[in-house]
Amino acid sequence: MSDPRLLASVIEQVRLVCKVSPTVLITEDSQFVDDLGIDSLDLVSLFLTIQDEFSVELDDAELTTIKTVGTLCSAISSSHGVAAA
Amino acid sequence: MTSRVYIIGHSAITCLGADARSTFEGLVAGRSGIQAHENLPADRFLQNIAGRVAELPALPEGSDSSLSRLNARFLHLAVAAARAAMASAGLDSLPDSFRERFAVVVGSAFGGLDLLETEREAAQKRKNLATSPFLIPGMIINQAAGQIAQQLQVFGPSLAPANACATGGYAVAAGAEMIRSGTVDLAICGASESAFTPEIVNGFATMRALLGRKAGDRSLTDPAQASRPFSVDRAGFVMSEGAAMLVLASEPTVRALHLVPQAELIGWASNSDGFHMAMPDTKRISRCLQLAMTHAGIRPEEVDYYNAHGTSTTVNDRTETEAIREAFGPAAESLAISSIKGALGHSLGAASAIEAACCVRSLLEQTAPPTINHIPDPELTLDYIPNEARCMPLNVAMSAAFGFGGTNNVLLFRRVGNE
Repeated sequence: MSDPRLLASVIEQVRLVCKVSPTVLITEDSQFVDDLGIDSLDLVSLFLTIQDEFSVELDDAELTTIKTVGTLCSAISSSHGVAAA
Repeated sequence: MTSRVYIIGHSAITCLGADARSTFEGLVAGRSGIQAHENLPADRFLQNIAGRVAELPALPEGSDSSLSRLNARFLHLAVAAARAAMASAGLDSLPDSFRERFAVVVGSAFGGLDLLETEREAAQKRKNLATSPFLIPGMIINQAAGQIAQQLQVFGPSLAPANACATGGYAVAAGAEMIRSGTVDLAICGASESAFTPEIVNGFATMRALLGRKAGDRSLTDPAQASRPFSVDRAGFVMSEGAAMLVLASEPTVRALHLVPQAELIGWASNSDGFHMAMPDTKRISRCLQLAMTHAGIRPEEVDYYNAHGTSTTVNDRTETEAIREAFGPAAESLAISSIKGALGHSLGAASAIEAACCVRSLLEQTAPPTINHIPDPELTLDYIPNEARCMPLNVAMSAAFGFGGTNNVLLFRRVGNE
């Protein structure tokens, strides 16, 4: 379960960067490609924006495993955790 | 059997107006779109007066949203100009059978360098050197043609000329060749430019091509007087931005779609100086003017109006005047000439597209716009339509453009109904 404030912020960035219509429901379980129809360039742009906005570093290998909004939130959280350690 | 080539739509987005009508009204009224801009600060830019487009038109609702990801200004100007030209042509809805025989020929001198600058700054802050995935698609010059094809849903050949300040003219000529050869039935042709990055502005300034900040220059008290083609005190060009498009159609297409021709493109020519990287060459420019007249099958005395390249640089305006004299012979003395760059500045690749649209407008309204800010130069004694527009019978108009790299283009338009 993602932190609700983090989840809301990530959903906001998904809508903004990937131009997802306000009528489309985005949840923690939404899959970027299959549910939201986000193409590969938009996905790269989203990950780049997330790294800029949340001051995190996500490595390329990790990015290929991120398929849902929830896994993106988890990656941000764990990156923050590593940074704090 | 080669087809006649008609102009069935035109558009222009300039520092004088958001459309061709307001731009032409401003030109005829003798207004200037040049002013000082705070977003060109003196600590970063060697020229802070410019011709900027006030506001980009919004995309219509329901448009393909991919353009909104590409933050290069020349793309947005290009698509807005393309939509306006299609509306001018009455082609808001196009039969599907014509979509594969519709070419897009839209160029730019510099493309999306503004996006490169923005993304460079962002990337330098990232440890992993990552760059936006939209940088490359946004800055490549042919993306303007690509976005127009995508927005208009037309699927014929696309081409993106990059012929410096002659780009727009080359685009029109290339589209006309495709129509005349029967490759396509319709073509949208033009150019778009917005290159206000410090390197580009300062690069032109360092070449001494731009008007500098010289004590006593009349632009210091009135920026509107900065661009003054063929004037005795001309001292360099003023950078601007904009876009313009012409929609071309073959004669059978005009009939089939019940289109209304606005002018006929009766001739064109392009050539190379083979001389210098940046200096114009009288002999080859004169030859290009002659080639266009030969192509159109007209004599020099049949050209009523000459829309000049007229950049307001010392060298160009003298060279162009000499070339006109050489190409036109005695007819040069009675030729009505003007440079609209006095009012619009120099929008680089877009300039010749805007000037082509202005020629179409001049033929429709039987009015030649003036060369504003003009003070006679004793060495340049042709008729430059100084300072006041001229209502006159206009049957044939010529548009000439010359670019760095020694590339020249000339277009000849004729009023419809008078052939």
